[in-house]
Amino acid sequence: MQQPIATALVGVIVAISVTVAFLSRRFARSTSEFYVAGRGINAIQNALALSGDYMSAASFLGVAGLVWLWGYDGIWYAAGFFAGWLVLLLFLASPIRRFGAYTIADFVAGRFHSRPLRIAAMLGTLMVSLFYIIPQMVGAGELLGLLLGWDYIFAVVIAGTLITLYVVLGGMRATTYNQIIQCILLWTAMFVVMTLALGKFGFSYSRLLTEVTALPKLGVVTDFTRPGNWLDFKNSFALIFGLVLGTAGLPHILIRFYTNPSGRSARWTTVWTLLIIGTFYMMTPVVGLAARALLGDSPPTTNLVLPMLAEHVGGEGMIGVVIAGAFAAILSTVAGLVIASTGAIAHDLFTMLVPGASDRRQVVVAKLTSVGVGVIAILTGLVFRGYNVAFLVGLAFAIAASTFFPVLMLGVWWKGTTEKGALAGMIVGMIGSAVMIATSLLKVHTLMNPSIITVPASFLTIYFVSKFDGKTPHDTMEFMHKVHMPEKVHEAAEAAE
Amino acid sequence: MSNDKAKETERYVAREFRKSFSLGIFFLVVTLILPILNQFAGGFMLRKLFGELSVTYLYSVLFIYIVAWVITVYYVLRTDREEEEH
Repeated sequence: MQQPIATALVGVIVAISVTVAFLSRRFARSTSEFYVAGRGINAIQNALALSGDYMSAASFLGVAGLVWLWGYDGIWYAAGFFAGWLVLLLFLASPIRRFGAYTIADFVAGRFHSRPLRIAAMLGTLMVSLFYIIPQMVGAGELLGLLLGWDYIFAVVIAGTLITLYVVLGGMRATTYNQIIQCILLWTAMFVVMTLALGKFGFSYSRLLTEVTALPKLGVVTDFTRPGNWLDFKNSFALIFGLVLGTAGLPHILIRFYTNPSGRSARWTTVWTLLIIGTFYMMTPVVGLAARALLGDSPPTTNLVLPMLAEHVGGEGMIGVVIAGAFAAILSTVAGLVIASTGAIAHDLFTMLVPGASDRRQVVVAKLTSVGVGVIAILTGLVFRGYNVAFLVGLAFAIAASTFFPVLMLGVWWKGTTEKGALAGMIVGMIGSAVMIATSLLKVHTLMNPSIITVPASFLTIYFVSKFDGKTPHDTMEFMHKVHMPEKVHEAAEAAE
Repeated sequence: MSNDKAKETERYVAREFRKSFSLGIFFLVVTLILPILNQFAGGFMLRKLFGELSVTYLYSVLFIYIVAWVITVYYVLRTDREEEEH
């Protein structure tokens, strides 16, 4: 399918992305700038960037697609993706910022002074990021295939190359500015499609539901507005549990809080983020159900529901806007993941292997690593062609929830946590979730999201091993003071010295 | 770290945790009770409130969001005030 307007809009995004990266290149010459944009991103800027980072192809294409396919059960994803942010705000946003590092491995290693924990956190970051990158690249390939009639492989390569280019050129600063622009674009695209789609039903939500309810039975789906078409009680509960806690364990989201200037700023970032993504996710069920009513069974895959609906309600111009929005969603998320993965390898691993490496050398290694991560992103996109993006992202959330959330929660709030406890909990969470996902795919059990088992298992492991071990780090109270006390207490102490 | 400073930190962390934990548990209950209600109070949850909009539908596309926003604003304003007063 050839789409001149869409092609032009994607061309504009590409041009803006590269220009921003080029203009920001002077900011990517130190590790502080490359990883955390010099900690100079204010609350609203960071909220827009975080929203762009978070609202991925899974949110933009996948949720609407799942609502179209399964009706009400797809809405669980929208609610779960949103709800996790409150957990992040209440328990982790401020403490993580106040610690003031570059990566999640820095945080756990700093809390427990542990090399094995740094390695475990690094592996966890790579594992979560990989599961998250796969669906984004799949979405990119399918989208650009629809857009330009490009071959899937060619489309994945082009998207991966562009993202790598602007991360390497401009680091976190360029990534942040691009994510801000991309967030505005994808939110607006969703809003315009929703408005046009709702217009087909006289701007009446109730009338939309009436028409969807009246649709004939389709396979196992008897009524698209009722729960239970896809997920039974056990799986719906497990899914929402995993998504809510998984958000608070996503490395590419957590590291963005390091870019804020203060803990207070990190809290306000979360407030604005909740507003932006909340309004976004409220639109996705409307779009998904409107697609069901207007398109019937015509979309070939769930990932193409939104572009096809846009074409139906607004013609070629609208499909261009949606494809541009989806492309923006993919770029912004993968760029964040590339930075998180780069930090795990070039910062966590490299500085451990080569202690005392100069700042300049670390930046060079970071840029080379970004290229390597970009290549891996492209390869995974090629291997996992055809998978539903929201489903795959749900699995990434499960690993994040199980690997990072328990250790961060107890590390931040319980002074009794020990190094051995934290390490045991992370290993149980990481391996447990991977095994549960693998056995689910092999149909050994029917639990689609394992967090409901692996998160409590990780919490209990940390608690009991810590109690048994009893060797808390010598500076636990200093750590608690640093991450919990208000900035002005620290400033007063510094002034007194 | 001096004993006084450690005790002050401990008190502050405990107070912060009580606040975050109570709000967090309340919100988790609001969120996780939805599948439970759908399972065990299906008749009530499918009751239509406005036109075709059922209780469960409104709960999942509107109520959860409003509760989250209210808690967010309350938490941030209260924490800002407490930090100022500290």
